[in-house]
Amino acid sequence: MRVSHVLVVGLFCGLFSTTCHAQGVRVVRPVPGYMCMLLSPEDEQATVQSQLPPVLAGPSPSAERIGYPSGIVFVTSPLHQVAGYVEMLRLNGQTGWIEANHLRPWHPMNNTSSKCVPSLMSNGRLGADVH
Amino acid sequence: MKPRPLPSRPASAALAPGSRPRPGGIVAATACAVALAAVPAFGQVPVTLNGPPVQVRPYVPEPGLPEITIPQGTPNPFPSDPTSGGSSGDGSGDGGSSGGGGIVASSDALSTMLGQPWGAAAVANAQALGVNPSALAATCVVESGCQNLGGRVAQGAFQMTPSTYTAMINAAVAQNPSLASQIVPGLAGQMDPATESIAAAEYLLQGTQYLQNQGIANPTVLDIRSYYNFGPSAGANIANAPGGASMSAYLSPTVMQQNGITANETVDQWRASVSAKIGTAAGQSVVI
Repeated sequence: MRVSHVLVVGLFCGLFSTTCHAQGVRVVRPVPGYMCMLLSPEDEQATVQSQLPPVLAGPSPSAERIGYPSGIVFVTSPLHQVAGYVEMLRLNGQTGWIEANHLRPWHPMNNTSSKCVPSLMSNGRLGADVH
Repeated sequence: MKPRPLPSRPASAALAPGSRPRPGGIVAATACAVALAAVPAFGQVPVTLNGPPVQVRPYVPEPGLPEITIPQGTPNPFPSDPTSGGSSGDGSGDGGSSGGGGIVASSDALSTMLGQPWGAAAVANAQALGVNPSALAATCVVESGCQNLGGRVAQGAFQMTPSTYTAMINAAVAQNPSLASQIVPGLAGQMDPATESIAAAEYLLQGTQYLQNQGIANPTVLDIRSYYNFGPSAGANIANAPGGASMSAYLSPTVMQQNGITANETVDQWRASVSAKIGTAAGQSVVI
């Protein structure tokens, strides 16, 4: 259901890209059932994507690699952990699994009382709304 | 340039003085004149330059010959950006992450890079890896003004760190072995702008693949800036961030300070500042 919303907005932006382009990116609504976490400090220092932990299709090291995470990781809330892997939602709306030891609780980098909310953006993708 | 027909002469002007014009001859001469007027002359067919012109790059002095000075820079061979209106960046950005639709064309940044003696080689290197030369040019404009700068960590016209440079130059050669003959070996290549352009183009290519994997179908030059500047971890988050969000929500204070980003700067303000530097390249596609 959540993914379908992403696809619908994405299709709209694809058909009317000029509109989405001109208005810039804004928050449409929060995505329920997920929360923000951060990659480990070591992973945050990665300069190339191959230095990041992989996002896998299942909670197993032998599962297919479907990509790499961004610095802010959207994980299921409450946390869904299986065999050392945490279920997550990628920015393209696809679900995946990432090793738990590469994650840490989200905290505002600017030492404020900000909150991070996984949100649907006006361009049809997911983004971190930190406010 | 639009081809112009050759100027036609009156048919009677082709007759010898004193001769009487014959009806058949007049008809034939008129037909020839009409035909000449209707078909553009072969000598005026415009020729479009496909890629940068070949440059002579002497590397061994010829004994007995005076030293030849080759003018720096190469005329920009790419068509003008049809959406730019010929102006430089207005600083407004594109809101970032439009989801595709970028174009590949000329840009202010490309003209700047082609103004360097190594500019044409960098264009060819970008094309060899499938990268839009304007995207590569925008990178050197932002990083160094396309000047071959030293630095404590990042170096060269594209300001790459030694580890990233090494990883990318190796990846580029693996992808396109024909580039191997053009690189200056070892870390010395980092201070050779033409060689470093290969690594930088590869980094842009990998960044594009990363952002595409995050759902940005056709990343623009503005989208890829956050990846190039801050690495993959923060790159995707900023490319997908709402414009009104603070940059400090996605970057550590140390990174903010290193990149001259003020504490209250928003994502839109950062995008605008980047757009102002790279001008018309901002909305173009990274890959060809």
